[in-house]
Amino acid sequence: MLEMLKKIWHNPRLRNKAVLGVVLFVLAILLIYSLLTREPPPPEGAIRVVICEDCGETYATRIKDIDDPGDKRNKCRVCGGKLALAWKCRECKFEFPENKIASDGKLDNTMKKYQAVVNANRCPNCGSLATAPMSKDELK
Amino acid sequence: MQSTKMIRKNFFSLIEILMVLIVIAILATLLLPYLNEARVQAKYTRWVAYNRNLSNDPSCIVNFNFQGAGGTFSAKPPDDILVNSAAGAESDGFSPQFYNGYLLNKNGGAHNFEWVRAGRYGKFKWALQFNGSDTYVCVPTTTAVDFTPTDGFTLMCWVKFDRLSFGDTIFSKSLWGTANDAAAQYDMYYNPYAGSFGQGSFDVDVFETCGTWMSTHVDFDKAGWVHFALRYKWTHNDSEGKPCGEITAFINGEPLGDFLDTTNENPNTATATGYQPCIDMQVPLILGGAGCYTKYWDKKNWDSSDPTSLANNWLIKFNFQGKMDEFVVFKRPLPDAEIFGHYDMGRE
Repeated sequence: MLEMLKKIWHNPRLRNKAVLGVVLFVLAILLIYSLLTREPPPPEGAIRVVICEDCGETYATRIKDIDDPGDKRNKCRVCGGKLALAWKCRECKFEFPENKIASDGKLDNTMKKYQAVVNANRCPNCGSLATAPMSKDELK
Repeated sequence: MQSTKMIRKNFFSLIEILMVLIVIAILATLLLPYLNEARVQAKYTRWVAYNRNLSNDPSCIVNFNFQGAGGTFSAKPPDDILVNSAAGAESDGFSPQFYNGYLLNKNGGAHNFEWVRAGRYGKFKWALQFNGSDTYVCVPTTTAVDFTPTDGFTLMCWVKFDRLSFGDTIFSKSLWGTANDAAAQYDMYYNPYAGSFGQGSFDVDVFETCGTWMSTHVDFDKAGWVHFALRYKWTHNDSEGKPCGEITAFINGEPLGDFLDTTNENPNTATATGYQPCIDMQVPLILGGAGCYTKYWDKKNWDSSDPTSLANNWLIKFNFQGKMDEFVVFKRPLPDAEIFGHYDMGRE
C-alpha cells in the first residue's frame, strides 16, 4: 500500500489525479452531509377540518389553499374526491361543505354584497346563521 | 511536430476543465445557502434594531414583534401570549403588559395556534399560524386603543395569506351586525366582491365609514408577506360640528388612493353604523377575526335580558388563515414616509 502511494506521489500525472480525486471525494461527502442535515422548512398551511364532497368523509388535515388544484393534499384520503372546508351549524349540528359564492366581480353593489355576506354560509339544513368552520376540537 | 507538442502541453484538457467546474459547482452548492442565510440574518438584525426603536416612540402603544420576551429575540415566544414591548410613554398610567395579546380559541379550551419559525426572515423570525377556524388574538384592555373621530391613529402589520377568502379579517375592533345595527371603531378584512377574485381587494370600517378599494387598485404578491397599514387622521369638523377625517389604507408601503365610500353610496346597507357602542361595551381589539353581535349571528345563544353585556353580545367570526409576524398600533397618524419606512425596514 505504502509502495503504491509512493509510486503515485513520484509520478506527477498520477499525483495530480489522486489529489483531485481526494478533493472531489471530500467535497462530495460534505455536500451529502450538508444536504442531509439541512433543516427542512416547516410545513405550509394550518390544520383544518375538511369534508369530502363525494363520500362525506370528515377529518382534520393540514391545508394551505383548498382551492389550489395543484396541491395533492386537497384530495380525499378515502376516495380521492374533491375536498371542501367543513362547516357546522351551531343550532342543528349539521355539517356541510363551505359554500362557494360566485365571485365574478358582479357584486360591486353594496346591497348585493351585504346579502352575500349574510347568506354566504347559512345552514343548508335549518337556515340558521349560527354556522362556523369546524375546529379540530369538534371532531368526534 | 515539436512545436505542435509544445502547444498542446500548454492547454488544459477537457477533463481538467470539467473537473474544475465540478469543484466550483460543489463549492457553490455548499456555500450559497450559507451566504444567503447570512444576508437574511443581517436583514433580521436590522429589523430587530428598528423594531426596538419603534417601541421607544412615545406614541407607540402596541408593538407585538412575535419574538421572545425580554429582548431575547432568538428565543421562542411564550406559548399563549403576544408580549407588548411598546413603552407608550405619551399615555397616562400606561402599562404595556395590559395590552398583551392573548392567544385564544373561540370555542374555549386550549388554543390551536402554531408557532412556526417561518416568518419574514425564515428560521430567524417566529410567526404565528392562524388556522382560519378557531384562532384569534385578543387584547382585552381597551382604554389606550379606543379612538374617537377627533383622534388620529395608525395600525400596521405583516401577514401572509394561506388562502384569500371572503372576510379574512386581519384585525378588528368592531361588532358586526345587521345593516342597521353594527358598530365599528376600525377593522380591515379581505373582500373579493369588489372585483375579480384573485386580484384582491380590502374593506375597512372606520367609525361610521365603510370603505372598499376596487381590485384594480389592489395588487400584491399573494404568495408572499404583505405589509398592511390603516391610518385615520382627523381633519376638521363639518358645519354641524361633526368630526370628519381622512382614511387611508396602505399595501406594501404604498397608499391605495381613493376608496369607494359604500356608506354614502348605499346608506341603508352600511355595515359600520357607529363607534359609540364599541366604547360603551369595551369591545376588545382582535387580531385574526371579526367581533360580531351574537344576537344576529347566533340568536339561540343570545340572552335578551342582558343586552349590555359584552360576553352575551360578542362572538368571533370571519377568522383569518395565514401567518402574522408583526403588529403595531400608534396613537397618531403616521406620515406616508414613516409607513413606507416601516415596510422598507421590515421587508424580506
